[in-house]
Amino acid sequence: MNTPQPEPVLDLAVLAELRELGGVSEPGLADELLALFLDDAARRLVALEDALARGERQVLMRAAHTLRSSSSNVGARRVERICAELEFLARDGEVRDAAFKVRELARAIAAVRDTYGALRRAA
Amino acid sequence: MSGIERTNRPIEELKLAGNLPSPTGVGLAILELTRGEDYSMGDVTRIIQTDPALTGRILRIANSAASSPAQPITSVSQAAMRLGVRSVRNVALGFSLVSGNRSGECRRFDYERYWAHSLAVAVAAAALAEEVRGAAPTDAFTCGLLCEIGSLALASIHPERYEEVLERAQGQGAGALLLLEQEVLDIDHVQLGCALLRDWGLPESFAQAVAVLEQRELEGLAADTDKLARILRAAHGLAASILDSDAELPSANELNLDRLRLAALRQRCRADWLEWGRTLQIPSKFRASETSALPRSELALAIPTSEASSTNTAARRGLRVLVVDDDPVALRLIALHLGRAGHEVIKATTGREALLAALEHAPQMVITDWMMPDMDGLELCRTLRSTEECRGMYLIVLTGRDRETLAVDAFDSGADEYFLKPYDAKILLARVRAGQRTIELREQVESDRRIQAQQVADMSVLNRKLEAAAMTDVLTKLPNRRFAMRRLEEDLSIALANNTALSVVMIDIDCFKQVNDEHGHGMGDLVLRETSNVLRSIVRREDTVCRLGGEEFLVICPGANLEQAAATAERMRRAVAHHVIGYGYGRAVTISAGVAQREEGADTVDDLLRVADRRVYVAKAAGRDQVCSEDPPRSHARSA
Repeated sequence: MNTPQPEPVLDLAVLAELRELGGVSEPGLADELLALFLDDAARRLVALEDALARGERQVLMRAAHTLRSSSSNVGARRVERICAELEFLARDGEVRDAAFKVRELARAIAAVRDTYGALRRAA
Repeated sequence: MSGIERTNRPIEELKLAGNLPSPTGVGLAILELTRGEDYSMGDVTRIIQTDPALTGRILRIANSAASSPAQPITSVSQAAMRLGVRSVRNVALGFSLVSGNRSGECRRFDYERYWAHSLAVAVAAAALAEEVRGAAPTDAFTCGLLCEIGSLALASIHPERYEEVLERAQGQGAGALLLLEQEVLDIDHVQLGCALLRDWGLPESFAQAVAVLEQRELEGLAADTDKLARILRAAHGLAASILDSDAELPSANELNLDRLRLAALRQRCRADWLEWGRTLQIPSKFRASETSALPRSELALAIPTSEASSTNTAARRGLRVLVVDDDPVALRLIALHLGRAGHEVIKATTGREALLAALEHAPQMVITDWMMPDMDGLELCRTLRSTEECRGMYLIVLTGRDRETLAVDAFDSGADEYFLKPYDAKILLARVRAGQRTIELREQVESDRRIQAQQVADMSVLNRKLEAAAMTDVLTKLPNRRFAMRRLEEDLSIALANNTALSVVMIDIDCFKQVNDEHGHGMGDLVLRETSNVLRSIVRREDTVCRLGGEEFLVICPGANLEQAAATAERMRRAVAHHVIGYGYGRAVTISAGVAQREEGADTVDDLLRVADRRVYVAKAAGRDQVCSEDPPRSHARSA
């Protein structure tokens, strides 16, 4: 799971695919999906912190799993990688390490928001 | 031809079609248990107690019927002691019919209004029974609740044909509806209702009271049946004004209650009806304009509900797909792909939400994520597979590449298909198309099964027609000798079992040979037909006129004693004598009649026919055109 090179916050190829998928009939699709993702991620982050505080590994694992799937769909590569690591830690690792991962995840989600905002302004 | 259905053969055939209203659950258990005579109070109360809702309803009716409210009834066995175990059994059966037959396929038949109306009749019948002390209120309640069960049965067995009947009968009287039912289905709702009540082992008096509900005159019923019949009719009159408080009170009633009493009763019944409606979850939103003042059978006529026939929309068109995923992005994307492929998409984000949506929207396919909080995808599959309404849905489980999610678990949980995320949209849609073929195949099988059931039902119509033909005299359209003997046998055994009266009238057209000789056989046939019509128009609904052969007729009068049957015979004699036959004949014929009743020493079919026959000859010997209902002194009898 350890990737030596840092992955991109947002995979531009995935974003391009989403724009193409939206096409002329749904030009706002990519924006809509990113908004859905950010909204959901914010809620999952709260759930993750709660689960961490209570030491509920199962809940931690599920939330990380779902967030990994949605981040992969929008090309949020860093979030995706952190979620995969978190899922692993929640299952087999130390809860203390998981706490560290959750803070890293919060920063990665914020980075998605910023990066996408910048991309839109640039467009 | 009234009541060729009295043998329960049509009922047996209709049962094969599979859609007869029938008691369910506890009601069915009670029915099975009490088929014979030897059941105990303990048996019945034990079964009822397994159903708390039913127990509550029984206690409720027991307490409303109890004359001393100081001692409330608190157990089913107390209720059975107070009301009698039979009454408790019967009312339990009635309730189980209400809970099991709340909707159906016949679009012109308003099931909710049907039950609301039946409940109003039930409540009114119970109140009237208490008021006039003519029948046990609980029995009146049950009888009222089921008095139109025949209409429900017709709508259930032949939804499409009955739709046609209701459509054609709209705006016409109750009589027209009965005729149309006979014409299209060869059985009417009164006959079928009576047959069902008998099949369920309800008292014969119930069936008889229902049989005379639509007739103008009540005659020749046993005293207790007569009372129940009057109560039932009056209850029917009240029902419309119970369903709507603005409706007018019925103007006349057979129970001689004054209007003030009637108004008070109506008030009480309405309150009762609303209470019962809440208990049984039957809506109470009907207006007079929608219910009565029309002939009673019009009540069941409904505005067609615009429920789209959604069953066959799958073919060559999009599917209705429920997509379940707690990841909103994935959900949005799958919905997008499916929507673009022409499918209708319903979305849910949790397993529980999905379950509700599945019940509400009846999707043909469910695509669910595996890993979800609250209820995961596999649990959802298992639950759907075990739910009657959802059993046939096509289930696809989606999952990530995890080591603990194994395809075999998905299939064990009832999934039809399983595949991994991230998925390729093209492959997803290809799998959905493959699923659609399976769904169409399943639906084809299901529709074949339905058509088959319909064919069985149609076959039973055909069989009834054939049987009717074999039992009908071609010339006069009256039931023939075969039918007469069978019917007399049945009526006689019912009369013996219930110790009720039964009489027969044997009729012979006077000097018929002369008509044939002087005017030819064509004129003879005409005289037979005309005379048959006159006889048929005179008798009560429960009487049966049959042509035994030649110029000989037999009238079977269940419930009538010698005097009543003789009065019927006399009316027939007079009517025939006054009916001038036209077509070149230009005068009336006369008949001679012999009347006999079931009594000690004369209680077999042969006895009855022999006595009646003997009396016909007495009438002939005494100069024809008369009715004889007693044997002359012995010496005369011999010379006749």
